[in-house]
Amino acid sequence: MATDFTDLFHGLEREPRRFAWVWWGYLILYAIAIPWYWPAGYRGTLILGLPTWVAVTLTAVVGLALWTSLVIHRCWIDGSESADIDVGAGTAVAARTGGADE
Amino acid sequence: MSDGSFGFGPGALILIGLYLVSMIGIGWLGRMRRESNSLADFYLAGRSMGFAVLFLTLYATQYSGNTMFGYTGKSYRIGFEWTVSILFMFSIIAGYLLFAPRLVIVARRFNFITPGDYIRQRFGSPRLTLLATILMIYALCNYTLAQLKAMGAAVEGITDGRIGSEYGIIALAVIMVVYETLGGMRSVAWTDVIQGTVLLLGFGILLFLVPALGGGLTNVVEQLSVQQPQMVTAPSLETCNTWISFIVLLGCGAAIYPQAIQRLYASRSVRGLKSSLAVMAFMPLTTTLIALVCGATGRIVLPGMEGIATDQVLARLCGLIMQDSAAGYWLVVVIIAAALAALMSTADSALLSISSMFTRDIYQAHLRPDSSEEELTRVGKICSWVFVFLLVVVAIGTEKTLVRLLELKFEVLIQVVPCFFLGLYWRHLSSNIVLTGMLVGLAVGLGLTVAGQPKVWGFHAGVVGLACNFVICALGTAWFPANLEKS
Repeated sequence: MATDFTDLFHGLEREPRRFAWVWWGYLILYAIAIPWYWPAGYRGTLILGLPTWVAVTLTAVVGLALWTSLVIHRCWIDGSESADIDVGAGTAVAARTGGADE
Repeated sequence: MSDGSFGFGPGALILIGLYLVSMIGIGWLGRMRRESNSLADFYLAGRSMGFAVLFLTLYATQYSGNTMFGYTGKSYRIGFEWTVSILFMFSIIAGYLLFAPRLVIVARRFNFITPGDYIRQRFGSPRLTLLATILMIYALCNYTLAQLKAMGAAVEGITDGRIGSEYGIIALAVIMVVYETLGGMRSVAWTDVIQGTVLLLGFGILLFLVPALGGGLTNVVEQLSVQQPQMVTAPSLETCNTWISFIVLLGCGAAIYPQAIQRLYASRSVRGLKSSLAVMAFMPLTTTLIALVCGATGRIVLPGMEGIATDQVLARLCGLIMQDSAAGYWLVVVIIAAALAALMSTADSALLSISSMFTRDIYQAHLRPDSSEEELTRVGKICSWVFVFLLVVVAIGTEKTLVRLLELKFEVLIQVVPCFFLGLYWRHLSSNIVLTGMLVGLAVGLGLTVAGQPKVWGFHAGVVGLACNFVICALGTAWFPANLEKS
């Protein structure tokens, strides 16, 4: 029998998928990172030794990494996140329950 | 100019040998620290990984021999178009955000050990779990195979051909499987800490030494602009489609690598996991970007390489560095140690995951449901040796470039993505719908590849298959919603 996990997620105070602005941010940064808007064959002047279009893509990747760091810390809040897992608890039981539903 | 071929002297070879043997010592320490003879202790290090270990094991596992040898070779062949590698390696972290917050909660609640545990619990279908497990094992075998081949190439390179690649593959595979069977995930994670640190150091050294061989990055790009202008110019729109396809392929596929999912399970706290992922988002800039620069420099410094030989460009660049000075020689020793670290840390993690999935999701689920934890752990260790033996035999007998092996693996693996990306959010997604989507996705992806259409309008066949897979899941859930049991 399949399991509905919905009740388990009540402790998840925030998760990225609930915030539309998170995904709009990703869309904009990816749109800048993918070089679709440069004419084919364009190189441009060199910026720190890199062609302009490569430098722009790398800047967008830095933006994506910063954005992801922000999203992880601000939009992923688990009520029990600072709690260490109860190491070893229920491990033996888990081996059974894993196959119990079959 | 030298041709860049090289061989280490006895001192350097002894040092690298000691470094490799020390991995067995760390494996032994991992065995000494085991807390029980359970699957959770062997395969997840007792779910005890804090931030530092988790970050370094994620890093060492995600950045592999493909990054050092395959990606350098690819940028040698196509130039700055391979900037996409930085973007798709970042996308793996964005991919985690689509399912990790929920999967971590469920994994803690049900004490999952393998990805199959989640699929079995969520969908309640032995057929679906078995198919997904087989696909994941296939993908990981492919992945491990690429690492083994690169190990052979590395050993042949550093000994200047005195030791053949087949002997290199066998020796490193044996070291790897010994420390892995000694302490399981604890040994693998601890060796990853050493290997991840050496890898970071090696890439740092490469950044300072390799561009200088071509007179600096600016000079390299200027020369490329004259000799191979297509290697420095912006790609066409169809190639941009391939960029998007790579982002989907890796962002989805690599995020659900079994060994990556098991590291999510093994984290001691959610806070430590979040911090590790936040730092990982920046790592393509310290790793894949450097491989790109090395490949472009190689094109100027070592022109004329073609096909599979281009995967040797980094080794040959190192050969040039070590001929310059004694300092250069010993820095190359560190770089090669980093390369071996990258290969072994990725292969050992993949091998451990294969062993856990075979033991848990095939042996226990279908052959011996009543087996004890001790028996399962023992079977897992035997399984590691058997798979290593088979993979070594295949690795010695195949000829393909590393990047092509990587692509074929993801074509298959990403058909498992809806189980995680949709299964954690769509309550009414049923096992039959997921199974149908998976089979259709596979048929489309592999069918297109076999029919000689590995890309459609620049999109990989596997990504086209995944699109069909998602459509079936969406329509199927709307028309045939599942009835679920409350957790």
